[in-house]
Amino acid sequence: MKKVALFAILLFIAAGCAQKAVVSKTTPETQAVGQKEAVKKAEEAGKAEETKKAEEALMLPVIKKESISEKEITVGKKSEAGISVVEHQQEASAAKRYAAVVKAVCSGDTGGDAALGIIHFDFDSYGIRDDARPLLKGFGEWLTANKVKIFVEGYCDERGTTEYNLALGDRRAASAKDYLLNMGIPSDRIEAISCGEDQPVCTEKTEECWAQNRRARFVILADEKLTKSTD
Amino acid sequence: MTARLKLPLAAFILCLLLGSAYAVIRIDITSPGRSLPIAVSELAGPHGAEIARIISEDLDYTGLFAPVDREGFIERPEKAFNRLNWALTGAETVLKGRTEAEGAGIKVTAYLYDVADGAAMLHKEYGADSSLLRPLAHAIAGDIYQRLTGRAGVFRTKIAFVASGKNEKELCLSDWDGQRIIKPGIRAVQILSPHWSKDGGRLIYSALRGGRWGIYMLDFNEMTEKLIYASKGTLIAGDFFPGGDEFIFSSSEEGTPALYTHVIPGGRTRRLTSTRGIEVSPALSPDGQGIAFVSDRGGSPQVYIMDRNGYNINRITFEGSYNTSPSWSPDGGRIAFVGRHEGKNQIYTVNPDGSALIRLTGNGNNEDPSFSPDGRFVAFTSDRTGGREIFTMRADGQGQRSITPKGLNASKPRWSPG
Repeated sequence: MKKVALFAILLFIAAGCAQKAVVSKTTPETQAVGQKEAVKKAEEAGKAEETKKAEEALMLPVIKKESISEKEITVGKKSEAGISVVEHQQEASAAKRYAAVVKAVCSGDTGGDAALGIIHFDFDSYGIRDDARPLLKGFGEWLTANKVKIFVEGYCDERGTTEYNLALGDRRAASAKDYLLNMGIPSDRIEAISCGEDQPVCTEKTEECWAQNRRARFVILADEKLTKSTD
Repeated sequence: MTARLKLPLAAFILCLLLGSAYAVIRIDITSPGRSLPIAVSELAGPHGAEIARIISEDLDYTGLFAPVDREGFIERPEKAFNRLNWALTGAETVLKGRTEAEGAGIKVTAYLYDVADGAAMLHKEYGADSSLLRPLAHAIAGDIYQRLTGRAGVFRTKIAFVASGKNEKELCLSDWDGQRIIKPGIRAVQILSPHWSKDGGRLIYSALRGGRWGIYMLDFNEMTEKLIYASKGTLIAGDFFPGGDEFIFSSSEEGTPALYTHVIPGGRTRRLTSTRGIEVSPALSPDGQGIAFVSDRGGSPQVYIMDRNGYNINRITFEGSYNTSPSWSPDGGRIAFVGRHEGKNQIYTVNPDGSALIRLTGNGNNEDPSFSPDGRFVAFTSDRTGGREIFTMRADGQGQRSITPKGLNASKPRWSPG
């Protein structure tokens, strides 16, 4: 019992110390230049070719330190604590690096590239519908004759939640890709990607509209763009 | 000192400490009863009214305090405290104080009085740059909350969220009340829910840039953003494990959406699930030993939990055919998620064993639940007023309020650690 009490006191003191230690948290030095730390990822798993090269760290704007001094005067024990929270200035000049957004996939605008066609899905489903099979067969035959690579984009209606819709879009694109693989189209010519609920073709809140948005789209990319997007 | 003497002495000191700590605790937050009436008097001096208003709003929103109407105050802010002046207001505690300009800053002296015996329960001086009035007021509110409940408040925590522009998304941070929104400069075609490290020093999030998904880490100490994981397919970042070096995520890099863990230093990746269906949105229990996630293995999206190695899988949602987006409470006792109810998405909470299901929202679509670090509040996205806004509410569904301006089209809030 007494041991417990002593231990409790130690904890008490430790907790007090810990709190103080946290007090001056951050030193806002914006100094992380040239960190070309390679992002090692899936390499061990043999997925090296899928892995994008590590980008160097993006520098974010200068931070202003936010500090509030606090001094307890009579109540409690002598405690003097300063809290500091990092604050950063609005508007990042460095972020302009991402200003040039690459269009094409999931943008609703394929930058002049041709869409091969579209198939549709039932609500919350990624099974290939009967009405989609003749279309898929046609895409497969065309791809057998034309040695190009394509993107299959999976889309959802807006009713689901963001992350599940992305997963559902993945699964729709994968179903469509599987169909083409079964027709003998090589896997490396078809890249499946999910666009989730972004880029609806119809924006009304009706079943007709949602049905149009639950789709997989087959996009042919020009050769030079392919090289860029897969290296 | 001998060991025989040390222990009784230690016990005696402990009693003193506990005694003094408990002496001023007026609110037992574990058993909600009436709210404590508190008078927040305007502070005498520059910005005194504004600081008092922020403190009062902070305390009021917790539901644990009932700020007394200022109309009934007869004691002027600059006059000395006299408990007899407050007896008739119904207030049991009174905050008074004064402010002074000090160079480019402001100095505030605050007192918290007990109306019953006139004693000062708190007497503290605060100083800050005058641009920091709000955090300064939150610091005072936090001290009052701590003194009267014995627990840390959340008034100085942050909420990270994503604003949607016409063609791109942008990561934002705000105070707990949605004020002082800052944009660190993180933009992408799509940004998914950010996740905080336990120390609050880093955020990870998925972003779609140049037609490729990546998981990125924003480090607040270095103020850098780095790509920490990239592959083909859709990548959705989940929570950090407690140590801060490893995180959980979902990826469709091997064809269908599955759950993985990744250790940042060294880059070891491990797959946890292996169905041909959908496994997505992993959320870690606070101790990192439990994983809540969404799977369609039963024919519709439902929330499951499993241990951190992917074993002992149990379904925990059974009502309705669309339950997604789980998020764990900080004490591990509840899981918030989104369920479809009468055609709309609503926030629910449930015990990790699937019992005690409660629906917290009912107006519009409500998504992306995230608990505050003290577990007393939930931040979420709602479209009830038209566009998307970040809302907060108490963990029992009371006090639902919008904290972001409409034009931001804000979603995916994540509450920072304490």
